[in-house]
Order: sequence, then structure tokens, then C-alpha cells
Amino acid sequence: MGQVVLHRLLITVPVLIGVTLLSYILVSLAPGDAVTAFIDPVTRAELGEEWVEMRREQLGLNEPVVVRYFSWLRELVQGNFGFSLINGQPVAGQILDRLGPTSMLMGSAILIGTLVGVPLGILSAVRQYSLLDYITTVGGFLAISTPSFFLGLGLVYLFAVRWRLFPSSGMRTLGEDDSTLDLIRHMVLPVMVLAMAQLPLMMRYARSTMLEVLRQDYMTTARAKGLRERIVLMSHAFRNALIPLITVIGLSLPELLSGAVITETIFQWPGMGTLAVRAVTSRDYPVILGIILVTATMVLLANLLADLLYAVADPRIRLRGRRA
Amino acid sequence: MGHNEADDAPQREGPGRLGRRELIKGAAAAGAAAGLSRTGGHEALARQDSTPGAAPSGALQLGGESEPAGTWLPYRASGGAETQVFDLIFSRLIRFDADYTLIPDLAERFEINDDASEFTFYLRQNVTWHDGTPFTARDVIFTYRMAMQEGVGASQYNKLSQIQGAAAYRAGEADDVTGLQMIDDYTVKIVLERPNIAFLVGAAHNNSLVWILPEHILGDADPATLDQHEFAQNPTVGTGPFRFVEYVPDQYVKTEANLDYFLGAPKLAEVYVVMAAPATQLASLESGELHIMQAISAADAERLADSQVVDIVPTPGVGIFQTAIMNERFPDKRMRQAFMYGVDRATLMDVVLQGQGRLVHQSVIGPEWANYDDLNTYAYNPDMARQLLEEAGWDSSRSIELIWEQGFQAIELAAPVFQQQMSEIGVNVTLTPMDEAAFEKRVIEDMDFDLAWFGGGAYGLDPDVSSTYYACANWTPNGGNTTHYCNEELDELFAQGRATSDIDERREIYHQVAKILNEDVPTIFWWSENMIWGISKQVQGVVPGPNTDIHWNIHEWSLTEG
Repeated sequence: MGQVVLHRLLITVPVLIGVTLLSYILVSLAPGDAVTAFIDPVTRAELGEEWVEMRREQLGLNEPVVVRYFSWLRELVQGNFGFSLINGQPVAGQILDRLGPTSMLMGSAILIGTLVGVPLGILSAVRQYSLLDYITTVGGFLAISTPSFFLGLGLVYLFAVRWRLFPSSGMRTLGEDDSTLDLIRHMVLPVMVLAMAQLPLMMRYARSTMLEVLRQDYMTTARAKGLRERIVLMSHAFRNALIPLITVIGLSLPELLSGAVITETIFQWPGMGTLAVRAVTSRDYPVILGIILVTATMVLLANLLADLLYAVADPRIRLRGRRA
Repeated sequence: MGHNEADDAPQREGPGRLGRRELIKGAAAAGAAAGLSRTGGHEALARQDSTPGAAPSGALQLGGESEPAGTWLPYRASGGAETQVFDLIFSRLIRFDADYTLIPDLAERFEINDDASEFTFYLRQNVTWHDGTPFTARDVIFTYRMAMQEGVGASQYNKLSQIQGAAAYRAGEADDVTGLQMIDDYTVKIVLERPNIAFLVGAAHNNSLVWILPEHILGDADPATLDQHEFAQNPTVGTGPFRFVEYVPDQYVKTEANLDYFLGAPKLAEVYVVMAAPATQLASLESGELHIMQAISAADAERLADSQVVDIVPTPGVGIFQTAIMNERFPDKRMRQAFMYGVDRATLMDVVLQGQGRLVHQSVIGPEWANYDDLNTYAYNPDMARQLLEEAGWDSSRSIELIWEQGFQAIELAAPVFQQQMSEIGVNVTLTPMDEAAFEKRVIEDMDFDLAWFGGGAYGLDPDVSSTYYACANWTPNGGNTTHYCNEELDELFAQGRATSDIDERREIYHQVAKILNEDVPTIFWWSENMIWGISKQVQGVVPGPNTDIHWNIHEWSLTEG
């Protein structure tokens, strides 16, 4: 087991290097840079090329891409994520500040998506073709096909503008003291948007894997043994349906992260998403790369965690792990 | 030069305010009386008694224009949110109010000499920094000098380089800037290399010349690492109506009332500049969370016209929506005129702006005194366009490319119509929307385009602004003239217009300028779009001005519960 984890962690390193190299090249290929991105064309023309060149020189943007990449990598190995080109602040600190708010949203969304989605999916599998099954199926498809920006703006219109039940954006009410209740009120709408993407996914997968399992011969055996239906469903069916679900939860992390970019922007939530958008629009390379690196690491770790959980859910996988 | 000069200044527009037109006229009169210098001064606006009113109350939320960079020093070309914050926490020498009127800020009055090459600013003596230190002329000299240092990378240097001795000081050849003189503790004299009355507008207009910084805090700072200075992160010492409290990235900047503000304590206890995308701002404006938002679209303005929560307030814009023509590729002005005749600008403006703008036929569009109407309005006339093209020997097989920055809504609406109408006069136009950076590169660095559509500029603030965009010396990449249009007669007029403080002389000169630009069509002039403000009905005292300058009287704003 420990060996497997070590092995997987070691593979992570070349993957991460590949990811940073690729993103560094892509980012450098994009036209424009941190100097020109922040000023509008009219002002830029007024300032003249001389000023632009001088700023480029100051920020070290005149060096060739390869040189810049390797000096960035060298610093990274020593634990230095670099400094923002726009405000000179350390990248690591900026990202750390954003991890909290983003995890708050994503954690809540995953929790709600799983705790509500999985039982609903199981129920609709057990009662296939019932009214509940139809409602969850249609509702699920509706929710999953609605783009999050649309859903977000729609919810803001209804809940913030029309009914004024929840604040439209931000993390706290300005001019008032911080409180947990205030924070929760601000979280409701963005979490709803993210959960709407997560919940139907969990529900559909739970439903289809359950249906599959329910058709297996061992289900008939279990029932023939005279076990109560509840035990048949929970310990025989659900346990076997868990593996695909773990995969889905693991894989939904990158999806949630990308959804967070849009959701955070709409709700002005100070997480990784808003930071990413800002870094990209201002061509702030060190911040962009820092975010990519952190996100890639999170995704790889989530996959690793999912693999480990397989072993917990299914003893056969644990054995195979030992042999490797 | 005392207070009596103020009495000579005639025709005040309002208590403590002086129209620029009157100001310069008054200056002429006073100058004649004084023999040598012209005086554009009057009593301080601020001599209000400090009758303590009610304690400041309420937290105002201002919509931020963009996410700020996070270093709070006014030396960078920077986004709108910085400007908003600087306006709250710092002060300038002079500034504009709601009707393009120059009003005193840190300078209670100023004098201009005959040929507009020397400006003397008399500073208020009752100003203290937020930490209690008195404000003096030393702070002004320090701020301007700092901006001249190469290491600072100040975007204002272009404008400040007009000051005598600035170049030598920057190059390290001189320890002092000869044109930057401290007469006494409360008097600063600025001498320009060449006359330029528009320098005054530069000193008043935001983003052009710097807000004054505290010498006692930054005096020893190393120009090269100014961004890393503690003050750059935490500019708690200013002279403005509010004090900087904190900046939470992607959320807000918090400021609180400066009870010792030199124009009187603000009525608001706190002002937040809130960062959010426009759609988000609009939602929170409607939900009553946000109090002021700028640049609302014409469609949203119409939708909100009857709102119970928000007042929609349009003000004249100072920018121009235009399609730059690369003149080197269209050297015959008849071709360029044909482009103006060939498109139905009036109808298109109705569609795109829904009445929120005015057509322009050249670029001298303000202030009021400079406006001139006896111009060719280029009413839609495809026959005339075809005829002009024929005379110019237009090759109808030639295809020209129109580029613009993707996502610019007005252009995206107008471009297909433009293409259609141009094809009707026999000009094939291909449409190429581009990424912002790629667009800038094509227009400014490579100078490789036929037609480039964009909007903006501050033309309405002073007629001399047009010189930035149409003078021969300002061709890209080293200036703002993207069209590579050049007319020496026009350049001569621009030079004359800068070299006098006489308003009547200037008016005559800019009428000539307007005629030439109207005739030569260096660019397709479309319209000037209104700036539309959304202001919560809970806020009292807001008078939005031209451009984006709304904060000029923010210490008088107040909030009612609602």
C-alpha cells in the first residue's frame, strides 16, 4: 500500500513538470504581456513605446522564454512561487489566501451534491419508472444542461434583486461586523450554483450503477437467502455501486474548479477562480503558473485519493495493490 | 498678488466656483490690471466654518471600475479603481467639478502668465495629512520630482517632461528641476519648456498628473523599489476626504471619514470601492446593496428608467467612437470623406446607443467654449460617396480589412451594418475581431491595418487633446496618432492654441482646427457616447461630471436609510 502511494507520488513530479512547461509555453505564445494588458490602447499610445519598453525591462519580460522558464523552475524547486508582475506580492501568499474561500464553496457543493444526489439516485434506481424517477431524471437533465453563468445570474435576479432574500455578491455585508450567519447567507447562492452541477451528476451515476448492480445474480442470491430488502440494498448493492461513484467524485474536482471560475466571478467570491481570471486578463504569468501548478496538484492528489478509496471499498483492489 | 485679485475675477458661476471660460477671461482682465501676470484665482472653496454637524454615518458602496493592481501609488498607468481610491484618499492641486469647471483642491488659487508658460499655485494653509503633519509646498515638489525619476516608471512623465529641466534631472545631469520652484512654504511655481495652456487641464484631469504624496513618509524611499515600499501597500497618509483602511483583493477597498478634511468633515462614515464584474454590479445596484455604478449600457439604462431603487443619470461623454483609417493606405482625402458619407451614422447611433450620445464630425468636442457647429455633417449620401470614390480612382476590386477588439459590444453591433453599407458604395470590407493584445499589436506596434475601430480618449476636456491623436509628431508607435495623418497647417494651429491663455484667441484657433479635421477626415468620426450613471435613490448630493469624475464633492454626499 505505502509503496503504491510512493510510486504514484513519484509519477506526479514529471506530470507536474510537463504541465508547467506546457502552460509556460502557451502563456508566452499569447500576444501581449503584463505591461500592455493593464493599460487601454489610447493611454498606451499616449505613453509611447519608450515607456512600455522601460517597464518590460524592469519586469524582466525581455528575456527569452526558455531563460525565463528555467529561472522560474529553479526558484520553484526552492519553494519560491515567484512574485506577481502586477503588484509585486508573493504568488504563494496570494494563492493561499484564496484556497480557503474556494474550498468553502467546493466542499459545500461536493457535500450537498453527494449527500443529496446519491440517495436520490439510489431511490430512483430502486423505484425505476416511478414518478420520482421521472422527476429526478428530467430535473437532473435540466440542471446539468443549464450553463452555470445563466443559472447564477438567474438565481441572483430571483433571490437577490426580486425577493432580496440573499446578498447578490461578495463574502460579507460591508459596513457590518463579520459574523458566521452573514457568511452563510453570502454562500447560499454560489453554493447552489456549484451544487446544481454536482448533484445531478452524482444522482445519475448512482442511479445507473445501482441499476446495474441490482440486475446481478448475487442480488437474487442475497434475496433468496432471505435477507431483508434494506440489507440487500445497502450492504450488497450499494457497496458494489460505490466504486464508480468514487471515481466520479474524484473526477468532479477539476470540473468544480473550472465551474468555480465562472461562479466566483459572477458572485465576486474571492477564491482561486477570480484570482485566475484576473491573472489571465492582466497576463500575470507567475500567478497564472502558480494557479495551474496548485490546481494540477489538487487534481492529481484527488485522483490518488480516489484510487486509495477504491481499496477501502473493494478488498480485491487492495490485493492487487500489494502485488504491484 | 493677494486676495484682492479674487475680487477682480468676474462672473462667478456659483458660490466659490468659476467656469473655466470665465476663469481664463477673468485671468486676462486681472493680468491686464496687474501688468505682468494673469491671475486665475479666487477665494478658497473651503472657508466653511467647521460647524460640527451630525457625526458621519452610513457606509457607501461605490462600484469599482476594475480590479486594482494592489500597489497604491499614483505613478502607474492604472485602472479606474485606483483612480477612484486615489480620489478618496489623496488630493490634487486643482480639479474639475461637474461642469468642466476648474475648482481649487490643494491649491486655493493659481496664476498663469501671458503665454501660458508659467503657472503659480498658491496652496491652502489649513491642510494636514491624515497623520497630522502639515501639508506644504515641499510635498508638491517631492511628488513631481519623484515622478520624473526614471526608476519610478511614472506614466505621467510624458506630461511632466514639459517642465523646464525635467529631462536633465531625469538623466541625472542636474540635482534640481529648474522649472519646479518652491517660492515659499505655500507657493509653487512651474515653468514649462514651451507654452502650453493645456498643462492646466493635465494638472486637473485624473490619471494625468499625480495626486500629491506625503514627503515626510516617502522622502527617503528608493525610486526603483517604490512598489515594495510599505506605503504602496498601505497608503494610510493622504489629504483626501477619506482615509485608507484596507484592501481585500477582489472584494473591496475600505476607507473611513477624515474628520479633519480641509473642505469640511465628510457626512459619510465609510466609503467602500467594491470590485465586481459589471453584471454583478448591476444586480447589486438593483438589489440595493451597491449605491453607485458607472458606465451602464444604454439597454440597461432604458430598462431601469422607471426603477424604484435607482436613478439613471446620463452625462455627456468626452471620448469619441471612431474607426481609425491608416492614412498612408488611403492618402486621398476624398476616399476618407466617402467613408463618412457612405455610412448612415445617425440611424446606427439610434440603434446602438438608443439616444445616449451625440454624433461628432471632428474631434474638437468640448468644452462648451470650443464647440463649433458650422461644419460638414456628412449626412448619409451614398451617391456622393460613390462619386468621391470615383474621382479618387478607387479600385473596386480592392478589399479592405476592419479590425477591432473582440467583445466591444457597440462595434459588434455596428460592424456588419458598416460592412453592408460600404459594399453598397463599392468598397469591400472584411471583418476581423481580434484579441485585445493582438489588436493593440496590429494598431500600435506593427501599424499594419486598413481600418481599426475603437472608442475612448478625453477629447471633451480640452481641444488640445486632439493634438495627441492627430499631430504629425505623435505618430505611433511613439505617440497617440494611430492614423498617421499629418497636416502641418494643423500642427501650427495646435502650437498656437497652446501658447495663449486668452480664451477668445483659443476659440478662434480651435474653430480652424475643427474645420480642418472635419474636411480631412483622418478617421471615421462616429459619435460620443454618454456616460450613464446608476445612482441609488438613497444617496444625496451626487452630481456626476463629464468623464468619470464623480467624486469632486464626495464629502458632501450622504445616505438615507431605505
